[in-house]
Amino acid sequence: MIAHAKRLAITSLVLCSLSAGAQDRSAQPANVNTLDIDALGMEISEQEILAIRRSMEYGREISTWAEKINGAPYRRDAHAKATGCLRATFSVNGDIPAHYRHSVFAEPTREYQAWIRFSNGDMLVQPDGKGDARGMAIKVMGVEGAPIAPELGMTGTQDFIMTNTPAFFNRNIFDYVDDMQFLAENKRLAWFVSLWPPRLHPRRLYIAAKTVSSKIPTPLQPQYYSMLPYQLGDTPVKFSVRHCPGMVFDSDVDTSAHDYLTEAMAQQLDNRDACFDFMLQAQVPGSNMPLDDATVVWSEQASPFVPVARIHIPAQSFTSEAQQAFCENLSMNPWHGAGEWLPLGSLSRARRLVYHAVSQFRHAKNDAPLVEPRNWCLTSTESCDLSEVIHSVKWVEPAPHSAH
Amino acid sequence: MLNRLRSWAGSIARWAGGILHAAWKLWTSIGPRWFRVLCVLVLVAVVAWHEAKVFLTPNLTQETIYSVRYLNDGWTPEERQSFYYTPQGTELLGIDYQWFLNLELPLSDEPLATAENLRGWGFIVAPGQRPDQLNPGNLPVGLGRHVDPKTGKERLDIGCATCHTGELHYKGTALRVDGGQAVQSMANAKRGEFITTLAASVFETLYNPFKWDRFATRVAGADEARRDELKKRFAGFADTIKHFVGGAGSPKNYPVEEGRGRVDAVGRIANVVFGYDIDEPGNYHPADAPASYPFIWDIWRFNWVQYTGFTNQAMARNVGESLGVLAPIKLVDAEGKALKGKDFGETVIDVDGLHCAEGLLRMLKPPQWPEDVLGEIDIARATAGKQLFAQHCQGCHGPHVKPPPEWPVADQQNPQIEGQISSNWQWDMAGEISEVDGKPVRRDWRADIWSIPWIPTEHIGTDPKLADNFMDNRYDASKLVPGSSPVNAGDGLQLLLNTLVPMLYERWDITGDAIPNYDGLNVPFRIANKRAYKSRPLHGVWATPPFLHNGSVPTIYDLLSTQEERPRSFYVGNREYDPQRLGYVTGKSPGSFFHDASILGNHNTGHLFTDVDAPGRIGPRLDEAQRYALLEYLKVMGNPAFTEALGGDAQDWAAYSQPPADEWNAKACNSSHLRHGITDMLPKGEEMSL
Repeated sequence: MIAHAKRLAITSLVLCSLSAGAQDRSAQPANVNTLDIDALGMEISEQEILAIRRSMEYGREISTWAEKINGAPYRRDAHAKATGCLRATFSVNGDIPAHYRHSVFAEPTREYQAWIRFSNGDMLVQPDGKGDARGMAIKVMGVEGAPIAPELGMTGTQDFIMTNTPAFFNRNIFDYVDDMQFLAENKRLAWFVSLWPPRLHPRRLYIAAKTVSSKIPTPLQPQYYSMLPYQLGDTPVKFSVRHCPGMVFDSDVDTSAHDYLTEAMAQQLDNRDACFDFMLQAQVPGSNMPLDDATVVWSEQASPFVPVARIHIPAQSFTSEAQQAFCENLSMNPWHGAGEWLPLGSLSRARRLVYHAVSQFRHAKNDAPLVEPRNWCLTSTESCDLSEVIHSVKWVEPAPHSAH
Repeated sequence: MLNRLRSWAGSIARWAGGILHAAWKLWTSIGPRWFRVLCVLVLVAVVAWHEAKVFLTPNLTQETIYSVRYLNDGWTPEERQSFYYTPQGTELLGIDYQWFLNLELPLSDEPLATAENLRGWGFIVAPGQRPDQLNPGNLPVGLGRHVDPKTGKERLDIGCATCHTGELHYKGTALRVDGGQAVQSMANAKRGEFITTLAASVFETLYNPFKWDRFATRVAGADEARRDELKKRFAGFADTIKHFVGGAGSPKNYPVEEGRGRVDAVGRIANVVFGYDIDEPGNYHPADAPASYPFIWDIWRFNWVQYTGFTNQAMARNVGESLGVLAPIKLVDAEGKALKGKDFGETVIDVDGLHCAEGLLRMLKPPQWPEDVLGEIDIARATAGKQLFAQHCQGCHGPHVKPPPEWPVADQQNPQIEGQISSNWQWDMAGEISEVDGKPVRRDWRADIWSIPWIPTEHIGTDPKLADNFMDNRYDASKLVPGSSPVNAGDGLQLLLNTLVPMLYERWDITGDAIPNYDGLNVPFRIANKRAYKSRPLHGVWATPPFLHNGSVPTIYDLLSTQEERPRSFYVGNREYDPQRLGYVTGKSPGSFFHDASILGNHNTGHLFTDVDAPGRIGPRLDEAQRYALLEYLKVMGNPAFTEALGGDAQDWAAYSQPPADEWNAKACNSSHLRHGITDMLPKGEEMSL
């Protein structure tokens, strides 16, 4: 279990961000020093920059270590195994409260096309039946407004990245870098428990153990959480996604199969739609809802999650090779976003720097700009034939009912 | 080592023994044995009393309202009051009006029938409501009184309005929906609900001398003879409760909880009439298909009514309903043999009261969306919704305005109507008869009618239990019609009512012209047995949550959503309204009923707009913008005040025909009122003369 905790420490954050450039990991990553941090417009202390720098160095050490186990070919370092990339629509609820009407949520009933990537958290590709953190990332497309991270370009996308646990087991970037220090030496428990110097973080250990041990019947079933807070308009929020109340999970796939999560999802989506409620939880005064302590679950009693958008996943096929390749190349970044939307806290700030470093590096290395999808097509075209992929059944209006 | 352990154990045992001994000494020092026994008994009694009190705590909603707004046009305040409190002859197992007013909550001296308690059980009481002649007890909407003609006693009467009046609450304003859907839980025999609390109170009043003393003093005063008579009658009432709970009212006959705002009306009518009234216990069937009380502001236009559209005539439907709501009737003697001749069908059903309510309803208009309370209408969105309604909804929901039918009738030569299990040609011929192709017909008096389609359950895919029960449950009616084979509820009612209604008319001296009027617009009584639900027109439907016949979908938004999106469970009982999604709030709250849609009878399937093949698919998936456009339109659909803004509205209710004049309606109201000593409702010039 502790081994898992260690992997998760690696996987869930920095290397997760590195995923976009995972293929290039064998080469020397970009140095955060080369970035003009001031130009990013974040208030960030010297101490924090130092922590980020150190965590990246530890990350490289861990990567080197992990690669020796994994061997070729290179995969993503975190959430390595995608259980499926799905086409979806993301529509803002008609009754979204007024104070949430910002960024992609500005216009009630507005509908966007989106991609959803479900994944297992581990850096190793392993059977779905093995306990693991489960990830869900949504890429909303056709987003208008000024990007929140101009250095990423005008992507026209906004990404929501989640796992199926409401809390992270490091409070902030300083916890994180401390933890990394031990992980880099392959001391998996050391940060949580140590005799000398005396140290005990039982709650964080518990969260870590719980995070990496979940087993699910299908990726469509669990509730997913942002873990980290964001700012929407004037309101600090966490977000979460839960399957719609009328969903039924009655898959009969063999859960000992290596890729049963993909199979269960394919079975469900063969002739049925799926849907999720996208929900926001506002930070409220008088409750323990810190912005820079990711180990604290914000009380749902004090501030319940309120549905503000709906994710509709039409019945579809999603297991073609072309789509799987597309899925591997999809880059999910919490700093893809527009308008009054901002990732909060030191862990989020770290993500931004790391992402930027990686992006810069890859541009130089690959000489191939990273292209963000604009619609449901696998290639960057305006339109494509989806009739084989989306399984909707055309409705033929019947003759009006004759009166009696 | 072992020895040391032993000695430790020994000391601990001695120590514990010493403590016990001391405790016992302390206990015996309290007093003599009889006193200590008394102490124990008192303690047990206090604990038991407390537990019982918790057990009997009323299950009340907590709603705060400061003012009331009436949303429907069409009625004067007097007419509204008349609809609310005109009796129809129904009873709550024969409880006296004064008894009901004077009962206390169980294990308490707080009155039972307070505005707070009754509102908490879902009844409707206006803030600051005052008693008047029609409602001297200041009771909730629908709870009136009638005089039992035999004993002269005043009984509690459960009128049409009890179930067919709705209320939406929004931020302290109560929006009254006349002719709408009630959410009271009157029939629900669950702990803490109205009927169980009432029963507990009755039995405690009978057996607790202190409670009895308070009750009897209030009802009968100090006079011993009157108190003794009261005791006798009250004990008889308690026996009636026991008898009813052992049969037609037995909880085992109602396995699917009706909860708030629902009742298996047809199932209960059948159990009461064919089980209880004709004393045939074999006829009890589980009534496990609860249905919402339907809204009724436009039903007089329908050609066929009831959820399955099983009948066409107002009087027969209303008499059947009265019997189901326990209007006393004598059909069999003490031995359970059918009564003969004049003795058959002796009942307190108030035929005038029924016709009065029927006439009043013809004037009632659908509720109007109050923009100042619930929010302004987005005209552009509503106009888009109008197109969507025409495209996706109107095909079934119409209204399909058709010329008035000419109903073929039975006569002496052809005394049997085809397809009907029984005909009463004398009754048929008592209407206004015309001749078409040499055959007698009753020409419908309406200028036009709404022809409501029957949609087969397999097509619409909504919970089939109600229609299946109606078609498949069989009742032995051989006591009424010797030699007849078992029939379904519709046919059974026809067998009974073809005899009973004309007898009632005779007793009430309704003859000649009055008959087709009391029948309802010259319509002869027919039954249609179909495994189908009617797709009724939807004017004002926004004010009638929850939705589908079984109240299984909390909001219209959810009804326009796919199966995945519809909640599989929710709470109903709190009347706070959600003006966005058009329904009551659905969260858990005190007094609310948990609707579990996984139970047959509660299913929320069907009537689906979806892009996948599914049973009950009736259209393509609607996106969020389309759903909200439809919701916006439904808020004002047909409301003449918005027709112009919408660029015309095919559903404008001002364009529909007016009800034909019926002088008998006002007369019926007046004579019902007069019989109950109500003088302040007499015609005041123009108002009451229809």
